[in-house]
Amino acid sequence: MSLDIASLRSILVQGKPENAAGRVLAVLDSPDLTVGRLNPIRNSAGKVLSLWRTREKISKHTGKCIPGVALLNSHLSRMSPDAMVDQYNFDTGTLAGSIFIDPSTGKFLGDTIVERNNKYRQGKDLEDRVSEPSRKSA
Amino acid sequence: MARERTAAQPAPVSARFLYRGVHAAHPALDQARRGVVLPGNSFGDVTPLEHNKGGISEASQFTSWTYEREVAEFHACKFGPGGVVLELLHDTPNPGDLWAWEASPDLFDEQEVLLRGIRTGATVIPI
Repeated sequence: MSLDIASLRSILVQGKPENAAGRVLAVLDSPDLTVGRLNPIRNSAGKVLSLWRTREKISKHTGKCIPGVALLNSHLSRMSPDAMVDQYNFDTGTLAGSIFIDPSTGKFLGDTIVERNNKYRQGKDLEDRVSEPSRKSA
Repeated sequence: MARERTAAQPAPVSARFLYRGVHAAHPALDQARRGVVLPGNSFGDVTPLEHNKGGISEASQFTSWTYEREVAEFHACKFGPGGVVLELLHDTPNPGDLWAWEASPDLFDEQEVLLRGIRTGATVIPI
């Protein structure tokens, strides 16, 4: 299932008024929004959960704040491990990360959007110089 | 041939090492136990940023490494015991080598560095 920004926004507006949805809406409404690949990355809920449960543990070790990861993992842990999850990647001038949607229901599952750091900016500058125009869209 | 060091033996302090956790259910675990590092797709065109955001390792020409051995251990233990941590010196490839270290955006502050390509001879640390 491929969604455009308007469809993603609609999913978030119709969902529960959780802080995560508000944060993601702010990203989608940002004037400097950059979308990753237009088609989502699709993985099983079990695989996505194993990655983000590990990154949640690591964040407690490093002190890095990933505001949406607990809610994402909570939702994923209630899904069948074999169920599919769609991941959409986004960037703005200050934030970067992914949002996750259940493609079978259209439900918003959570996000892993974080504040960009200096290493991000250095890498993004390099990436912008070498990437093809078709890899980016507004 | 892979070198093996027990978890109790620390690396020499003079060199800067990178670590990669390979969990017990990882598709490349058998190779990892022999010190071989295989990306999901050697011919992938994933960007460092896409790789760092996660979920795309099977299509990626990169593998994820970290200066923090503890971070690698978290990944190695993702599916319980049986995983390994791989260790490589952060060195420079020789002319003709088909691998390279590349900077990661490291959005999640995991001290991540990306390795493009295939490597052999990594030190294997059982977990």
